[in-house]
Amino acid sequence: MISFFTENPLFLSALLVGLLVSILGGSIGPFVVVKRIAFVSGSIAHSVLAGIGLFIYLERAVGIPMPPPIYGALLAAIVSALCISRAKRFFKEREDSIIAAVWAAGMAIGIILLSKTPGYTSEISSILIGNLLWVSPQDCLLLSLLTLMSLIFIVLRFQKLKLVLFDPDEAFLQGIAIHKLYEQLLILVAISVVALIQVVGIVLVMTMLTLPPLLSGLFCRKLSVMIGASIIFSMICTLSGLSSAYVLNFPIGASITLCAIVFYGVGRCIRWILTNRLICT
Amino acid sequence: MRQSVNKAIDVSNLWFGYDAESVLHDVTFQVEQGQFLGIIGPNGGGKSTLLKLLLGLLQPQQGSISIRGKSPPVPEVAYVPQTLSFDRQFPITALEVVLGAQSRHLSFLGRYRSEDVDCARYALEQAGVLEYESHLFGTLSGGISQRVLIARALVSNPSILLLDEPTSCTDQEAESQLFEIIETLKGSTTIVMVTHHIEVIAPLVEKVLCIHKTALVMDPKEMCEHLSFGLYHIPEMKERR
Repeated sequence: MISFFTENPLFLSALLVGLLVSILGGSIGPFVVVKRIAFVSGSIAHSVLAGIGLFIYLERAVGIPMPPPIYGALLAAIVSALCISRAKRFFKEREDSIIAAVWAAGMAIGIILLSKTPGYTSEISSILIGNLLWVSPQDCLLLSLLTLMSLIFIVLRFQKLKLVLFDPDEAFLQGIAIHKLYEQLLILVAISVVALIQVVGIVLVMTMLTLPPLLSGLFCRKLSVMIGASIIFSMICTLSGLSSAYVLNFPIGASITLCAIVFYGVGRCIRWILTNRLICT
Repeated sequence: MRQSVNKAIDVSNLWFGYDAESVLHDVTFQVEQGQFLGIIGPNGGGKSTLLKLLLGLLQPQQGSISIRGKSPPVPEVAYVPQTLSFDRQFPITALEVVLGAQSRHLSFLGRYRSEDVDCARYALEQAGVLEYESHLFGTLSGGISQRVLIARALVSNPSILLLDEPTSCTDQEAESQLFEIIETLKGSTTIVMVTHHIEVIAPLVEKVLCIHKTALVMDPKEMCEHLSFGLYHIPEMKERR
């Protein structure tokens, strides 16, 4: 079963990147779920098209040498996260409307820039639906660094983040810079969105940020335990998605997403049975 | 300013509004150290806004607020909000909720000290809810979760305790238990409580602040029959101002 990963070096690197991204997405996802900001991650995911489009356009149509498009995605994701957070804070705008505006603006800018770029069509599909096999060693290095930085941040700031998300007023009274910390969380969400785009693409990012944490939330009472379980579930989804994609010749991103949905469905049934048994006894 | 150091709370000519809508007009009052102040008034009168201003969550548009001689936020202030304002699905235990009030003591590595955990357990015991320490906060009843929030407020031994309608979702028994806890704090801790249950707090408080846009400071004995039936004497407020 495991032999195809070791026999094919392309699949082995895809597996390694997939597991790395599972650690990042699995650790950030629970914060997204408990704070109910899944649509913020969706908005950031779709707005990265603007950054990717800009970098590809500047290199191909204008002739300016640019870093790989993943850096454009990262830039656009961070700008979008800051826009969402600051528009709500300073202009008191409704958050759902800002989310929709950032989502649409990013997509619109990306589509226009890519349409003005010759020969973009082959890359756009991998951006939209993801392709682990396309990840370069430089991308892999960047993802490793981002994952390490995010994990260090979460470990050091976990208690404060939990308080800010649960009760911002009490966090403020405890002298915590609540807006700064929330913005830092949104930047982490932006980073994990960019990482997950490599695996499942823009269209399916939200599932990987929400389904593994939802599944872990069915069985865990504490946020810290939920994060650990979410990382493990993310890894299982990636591993099983990659295997099924290889065996059934399916697109990798869609296979991983479907596996996550199936596992969540099974988890929900187990939880339902356990709850009913407890009530009956 | 020297005078305000001796006061627990000193609010002077306070004005506040949301956008174009004015909420508090020229509010002035003082609370002595160890005094129990009850804040009453109709919905939308500005009671919760006043608490937020005292906490430093909002900034006054005019006038000044001094808490023990300093501008809010002040670390010696603890706050008990309404339980209804929390996400009941948040994965956090009662002990973790209380520990949240010890966040100032977190180490560089983001860990609580063992004495902070002991203090949190002691506060839960004081509030009579130690047995619920590992229960999810969202699964607790209104009365129990309110007592957990009181334990959180008490864990840091605050000199000023602000309570925002703490009995709004509790039953009679939980309400009397809450007032038992407050009774033990009277004298040593300055207490400010927003409530609609005027008849319950009347025997406990030393001063009453009736808020309807503006504020009227009253002695509990002054509270007329209207107030004891839960009505707010707005005409009298206008007349006396």
